[in-house]
Amino acid sequence: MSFIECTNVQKNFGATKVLRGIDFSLEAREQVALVGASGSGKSTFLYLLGGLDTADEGVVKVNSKELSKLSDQGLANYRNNAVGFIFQFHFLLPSMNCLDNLLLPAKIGNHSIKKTKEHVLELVDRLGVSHCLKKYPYEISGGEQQRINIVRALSLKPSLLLCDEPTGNLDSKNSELVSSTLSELAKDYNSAMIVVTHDNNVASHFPRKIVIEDGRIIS
Amino acid sequence: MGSTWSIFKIISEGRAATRFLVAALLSFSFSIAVILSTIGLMDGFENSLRKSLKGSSGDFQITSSKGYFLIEKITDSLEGYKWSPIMQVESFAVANETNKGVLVKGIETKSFNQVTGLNLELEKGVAIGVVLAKELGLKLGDELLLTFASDKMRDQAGAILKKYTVDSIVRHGIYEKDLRFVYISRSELLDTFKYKDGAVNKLLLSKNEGQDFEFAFSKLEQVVSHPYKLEPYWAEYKTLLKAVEVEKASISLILQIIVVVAIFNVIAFIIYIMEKKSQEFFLLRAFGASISTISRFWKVLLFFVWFASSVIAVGMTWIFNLIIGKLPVFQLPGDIYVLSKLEIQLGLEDYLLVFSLAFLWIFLIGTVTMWRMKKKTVLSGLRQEFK
Repeated sequence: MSFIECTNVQKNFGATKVLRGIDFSLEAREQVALVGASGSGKSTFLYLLGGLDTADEGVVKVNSKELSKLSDQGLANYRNNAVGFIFQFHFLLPSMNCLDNLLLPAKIGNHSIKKTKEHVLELVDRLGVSHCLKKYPYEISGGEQQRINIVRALSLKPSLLLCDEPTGNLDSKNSELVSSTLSELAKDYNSAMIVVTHDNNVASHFPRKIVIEDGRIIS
Repeated sequence: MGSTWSIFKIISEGRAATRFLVAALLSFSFSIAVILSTIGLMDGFENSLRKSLKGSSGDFQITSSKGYFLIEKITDSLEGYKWSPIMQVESFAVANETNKGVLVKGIETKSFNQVTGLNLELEKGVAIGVVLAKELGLKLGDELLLTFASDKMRDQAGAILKKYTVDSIVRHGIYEKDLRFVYISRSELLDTFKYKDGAVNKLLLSKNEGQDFEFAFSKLEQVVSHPYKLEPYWAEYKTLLKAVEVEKASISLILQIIVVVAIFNVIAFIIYIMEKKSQEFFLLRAFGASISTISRFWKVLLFFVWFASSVIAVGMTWIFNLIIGKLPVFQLPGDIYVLSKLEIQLGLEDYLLVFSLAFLWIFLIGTVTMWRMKKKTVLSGLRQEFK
């Protein structure tokens, strides 16, 4: 059985059919790029996998758990423990310094702050942003913000890394850097990874590429 | 707890949010304080009135529908109670070229003092209320002329004029009594009107120490029958006291409008938070905060608003009480309000009533807020907030 198994997944927003029956599977530690035009449904699919919403029809199973059968608390635990989100915009909270932002998922999930901090310090060191820890998000550059964002997503060592246009806000040099870093980190942490992008250069960093069009996987 | 604190930190970030929270807190506190003060004033009025009445009337009074009666006819059945006979007539008091309509009470000092606790000192003269003394410009030792209407044929229904020395000046605590009451020896009054020794038109009684008021009253009711009438000490003000009770209930309901207005401020604060900080809320949910975590935060926040407002309201009520007690501008005219001084008195049931109503409003808001939040999925929230 695959790590992720999706069968006939459908999602509507009102009268608009966003996902029209997606069948998809992903093995543990596998990395895939999800490519498609704007409005094709790729982000919606990503968020369904992340437990941020539930499918109207079909089955989404992650690690043998059917997400639609989980309670609100069950989904919250799943998002906290198993999933790391990286969004296009960094979404670091301006009221907290970078270290507090990094420890936020651990605080929400009542994880050991000491252990998480040790792990986070290793990561920031590796990504070269340890000088940002005491700074507030508005005090650091866009590239640094995105690297902090990546550290936050990996802070609880998730088994699934979901990235929504992680390079969409970066120049080509930083895009290259972030794409290769993500790929390396996912390997190191034995995480499966799905990267949503409309940039073929970014997609080329990943061994598998899936194209979504009008809510269907076409290749 | 960590997540609740993290959420609070996010919410309270920024001066505008903090100011808004403080403003909502203060307006809610003020509305609670207004209701507490109003109820407290009415309770204070009622309690002070009862206390002052009791202090000059004993616990019960017996009158007769025939007017005058002989005390021997009833006192046999009052064994176990302290009683004091009263003969009271209306009169005009004249002094320093000023006159005033008064109620002259013929008393037996010893029993009167025992029953009422007023401690009057009378020799051959009179004791007058403190306001009457002021109005007539009298002090101890001055002379006062009392004018009685005679019903005897030999006086040809003319007036009886008698001069007395002011032996004592009394403070009842009730403006009307301080203005109208003149005490004199009952035997002097009997002499003046040539009535029999045992003639009275009122009998004051007091219950035994430690005896329950209601119990004592019901026991007395069994032995006092027509033409005699038994009444509690507040009987002469019972209409006023009833009116205060009714007003208290109706004003409390009407003043809920103020709470509703203040609640709009709290709602405005919540809407402000939900609009300004919804990005953060949805991000927290994306990182694993469940609806119940967010719900717990709202509950804690609303409980804090309610609790803090209640505490501040108690402080505001205390300050208001000080102000009405100290500043003359806030003192009420005693001739209108019967008592010359009003104060706020609040019982546990008053606090419980006001605080629980305030809590009910807060609870309703919290329920609506949670219902609105639960309607939105994390994804729709993220899409809406981060687009």
